[in-house]
Amino acid sequence: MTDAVPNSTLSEHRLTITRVLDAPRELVWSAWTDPEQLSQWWGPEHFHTPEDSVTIDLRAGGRFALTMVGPDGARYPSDGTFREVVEPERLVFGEDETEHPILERSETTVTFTDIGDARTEMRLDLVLVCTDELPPMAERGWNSQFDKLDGYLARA
Amino acid sequence: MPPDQLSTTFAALADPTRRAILARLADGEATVNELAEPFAMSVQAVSKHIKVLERASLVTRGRTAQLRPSRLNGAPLKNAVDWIAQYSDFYQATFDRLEDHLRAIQRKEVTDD
Repeated sequence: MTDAVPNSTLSEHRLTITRVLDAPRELVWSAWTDPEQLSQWWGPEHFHTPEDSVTIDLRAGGRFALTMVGPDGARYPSDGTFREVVEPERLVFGEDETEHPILERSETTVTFTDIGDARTEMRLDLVLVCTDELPPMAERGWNSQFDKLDGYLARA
Repeated sequence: MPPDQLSTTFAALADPTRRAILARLADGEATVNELAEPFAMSVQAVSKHIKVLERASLVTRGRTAQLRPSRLNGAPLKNAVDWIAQYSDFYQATFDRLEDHLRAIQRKEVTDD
């Protein structure tokens, strides 16, 4: 297709997920930063992340890479750079999605808070920077169209 | 939905004329002439846009009628809308496994002590 996505305005889209974990903060930190441990849990159900695919250079400016393997054997590599490493409370990393047709880049901040009783509140803030042209995100003029779309999908 | 399909969907949507065409089709099927009406462009140019939407499976066209009216196919559009929600799903599912991992590793520590 010759119709490339135009380099229009970039805009930010945010997603926050918070979870309380029944584990002390240091343990949660090492689960995120130790390749052997990360490989035990990273990825959704039925996916696995081979330990030998995980490299973590844990420092600001350090790179990380890992590959998830789907239930059908499909491989999903991802890599990026740590922007901030504040043990054991904050991890900020970014992925440059230059190959991605719509996503310019993403930045993820994971904050670990000790809430006592050997429990940790983990908060993930994800910022996606994408082109403004994107209908799921573009607010300009799309709300009414989506209302119509909703009606259409309900009838379909 | 394979990623390349999603790319095709987004590329097709990344044009104001094509989005307007889809919005018009959300009201019901229309012929090329009807779709071209509101635009200051030729029927040929609009036809080209419809072809892009058709390749992205966002639009289907009647095979029998002479005028081949276009019809909106909402499924890929819905997938595009759901795209950001996938990130949430990904992390929620992943954090379920993190919880399991933390439980397992703490049980192990207790056993080791």
